[in-house]
Amino acid sequence: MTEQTTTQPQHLTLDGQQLKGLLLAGMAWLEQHYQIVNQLNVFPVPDGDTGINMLLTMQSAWAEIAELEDTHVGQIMRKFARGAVNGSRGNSGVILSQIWRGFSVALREREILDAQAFAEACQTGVKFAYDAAPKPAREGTILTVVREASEVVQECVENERDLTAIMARFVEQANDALIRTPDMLPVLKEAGVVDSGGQGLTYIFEGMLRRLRGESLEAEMEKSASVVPVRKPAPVMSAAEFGHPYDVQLLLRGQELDVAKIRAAIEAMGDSAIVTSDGESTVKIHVHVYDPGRPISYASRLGVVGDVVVENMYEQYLENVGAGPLAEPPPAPAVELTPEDVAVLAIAPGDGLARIFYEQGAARLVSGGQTMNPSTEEIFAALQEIPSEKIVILPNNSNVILAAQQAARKARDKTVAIVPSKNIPQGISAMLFYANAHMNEDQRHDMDTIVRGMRESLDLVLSGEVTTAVRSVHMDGVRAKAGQLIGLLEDRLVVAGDDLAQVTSDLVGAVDADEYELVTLYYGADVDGIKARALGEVLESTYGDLSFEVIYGGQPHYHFLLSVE
Amino acid sequence: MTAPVIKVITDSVCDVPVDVAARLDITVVPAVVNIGQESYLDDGIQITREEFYRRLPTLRELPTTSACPLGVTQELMAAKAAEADHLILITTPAHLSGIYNTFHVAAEAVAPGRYTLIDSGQITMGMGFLVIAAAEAAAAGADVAAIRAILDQMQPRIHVFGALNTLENLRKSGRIGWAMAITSQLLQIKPLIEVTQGKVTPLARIRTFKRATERLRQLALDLAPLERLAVLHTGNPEGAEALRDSLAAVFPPAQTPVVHVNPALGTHVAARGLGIALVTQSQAN
Repeated sequence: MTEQTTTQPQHLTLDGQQLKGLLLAGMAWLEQHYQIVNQLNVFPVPDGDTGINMLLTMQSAWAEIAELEDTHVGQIMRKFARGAVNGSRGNSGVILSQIWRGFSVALREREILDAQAFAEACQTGVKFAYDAAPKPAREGTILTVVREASEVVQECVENERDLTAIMARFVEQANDALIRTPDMLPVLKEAGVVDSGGQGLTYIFEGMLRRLRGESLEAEMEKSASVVPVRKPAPVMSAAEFGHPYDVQLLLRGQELDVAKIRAAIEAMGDSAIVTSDGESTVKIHVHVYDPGRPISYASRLGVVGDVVVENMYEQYLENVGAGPLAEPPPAPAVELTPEDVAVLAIAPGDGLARIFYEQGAARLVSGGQTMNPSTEEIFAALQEIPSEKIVILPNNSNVILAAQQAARKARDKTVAIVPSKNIPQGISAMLFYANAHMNEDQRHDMDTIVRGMRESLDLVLSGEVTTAVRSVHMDGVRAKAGQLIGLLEDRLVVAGDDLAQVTSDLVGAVDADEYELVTLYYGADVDGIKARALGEVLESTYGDLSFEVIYGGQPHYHFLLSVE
Repeated sequence: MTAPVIKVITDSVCDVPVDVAARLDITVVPAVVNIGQESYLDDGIQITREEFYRRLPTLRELPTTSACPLGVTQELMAAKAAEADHLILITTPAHLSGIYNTFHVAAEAVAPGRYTLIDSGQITMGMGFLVIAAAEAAAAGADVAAIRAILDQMQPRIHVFGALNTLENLRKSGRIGWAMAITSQLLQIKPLIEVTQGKVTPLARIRTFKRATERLRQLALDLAPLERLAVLHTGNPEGAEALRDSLAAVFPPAQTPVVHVNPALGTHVAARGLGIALVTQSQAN
């Protein structure tokens, strides 16, 4: 046991309880900063927040050792790693849990932690992290940060026995590597952020270092409430809440029509304005207004008006209240499976999307996705509940893939394969292959055929989304302010704006209509179904070569998910 | 001794193209198409198939089909019986239609003891290929037993597939039973079906018609080498021609008839569907 001095207390060894204190400090320091980590998203979209994912992973790990009075370092680390693995969520959370697993393997027989043991733990942690990460390993991520920090530890352990000093070098190098991540990964550079997972890891080890130094773990920043409310559709909207009741569509024919000027005038009348033209002689107008007469008389002053359609959406809405998705029974599986059947476990947010996966034969849904990445344990528990021995997991989000893989490895008594769907449209495309195979007596038991076909189905669709920007951004040549609506197609920022209908329409405009046939719009929990369907009709008339399907998805945060095929 | 003269008579569900029927002297007894209160013979004169598929999407009630009136059937059959020693009668499957029975009654009246009545077990060109093969063999001087053998040998090599543009008509006609497996309350589906022995089997739920067409093409490629091929459609000639041309590698387009599917099947398939009928080469070839 070493004496603590006021500035830089030395620690030549730590016992299990001291290590426990360090881990708690790492978690606490991350907790102080996880919102900063969350904001390091490459895309300004609400998605699997790295900070919260890593924090939840740490909390799950901590819960395993919180009550332990063991002083054996190996025992403490073993349980900590187990908790981390079970609770790991999001790709960074999974890699973090693997770092701890590496630590636990290296320290298994260690009563106490000294410099040599720490160096070995770092080395093994790095190895486990790289093994778990998608191949080929991407540099400029948490992997680079932990590897470089570990390399420095290997060097300085030659002539340094003090854990405080070694940890200081670890953190120093981690920060150094972190700052260089944008140089290694162009997407980070364009977004103007450092790697979020690397940042989260650095905070954890900084917290551990602060503990060794006896420094405060209270951050100098203001803490704010962090709970993200899950939006639900309002039960019945009043006319005032509903807003512009009239959906007006018309065709204007005239000479030298100034489309930009007409668009500005129409936008000023209401919302969901879409003004499109084919040259200067025909302009198609769509807008939601209180007074349907306004756009019609405005247009009739500019030329000849035709094909006028006026619909009262609020009346339709009232007719539909009670018959909407909320009145339906909760989603449930539609197929009965035998142990020989190949089954599907899908991860999806929103009751509407869950219903689609169930209808196409999913055995079990785990709720989650973009913003709420499920943990390894949740996915593992769902695997256990499925009667089949052969299970395919559809993660439907790139940030869920590693947790799914980890859960699959845990489920040793079953054959589990991951079909790495990165988004909902890919997942539904793969699900349809499964549905077809399941109808076929020759295929329904054939894991290899089903997995191959589902994988091949992933690339049949393009994926798009309309959401609200969580921060200001300038990428892919598009500038968006925080709070503005943005449209992305295949992870490329395509459009930003303030009107949902126009942004959605412009996003669809980025699709090569010669190449594709069908656009499916899955509308989110905060979008009214009548308005969504009205938009679908407008899009159908705007983009004649594509057909549109509007389906309730019920997902949070994403006003529309688009599937293009 | 000269070979006996054998003539082939069938019904319009077989979809044999008019020029082929004329060339091989095949008599096609028209079925009856009922649209609302109106009835038309499916003879390409009272109502053309183009017109049928143009009107189909606009009809509130689905058209139905029934067997040709006995009198008309008998008249057509008697004309042929006068020229031939023997009649080969190939009909729509008996479990689907009254045509088989009508043919039986008519043949007993006009050519007792001089006919062979065959339930094709197939519809559209699946049946048409049997009719054509029988007529070709008859023209080449084959006797009844030889013709029967040819048909029996061909029967298991016939495949008929379809890609539907909509399930709307199946819902309307209440034939959603078999379609249940393939339908979706939530997603738009372009079903791929197989027609065997007059029964429809769902093959796949597909989201886009383009991809469903691609699957039809793939099915033909998978079954090659082919002995015969026809492309079927319900008022979608451009799509059918494109499909035929895309199959040039497995079968010459010039020998691939593009046919309007008969109303009996088309009423369920709905407009703008596509299909293929084919006969695979026998192992001996």
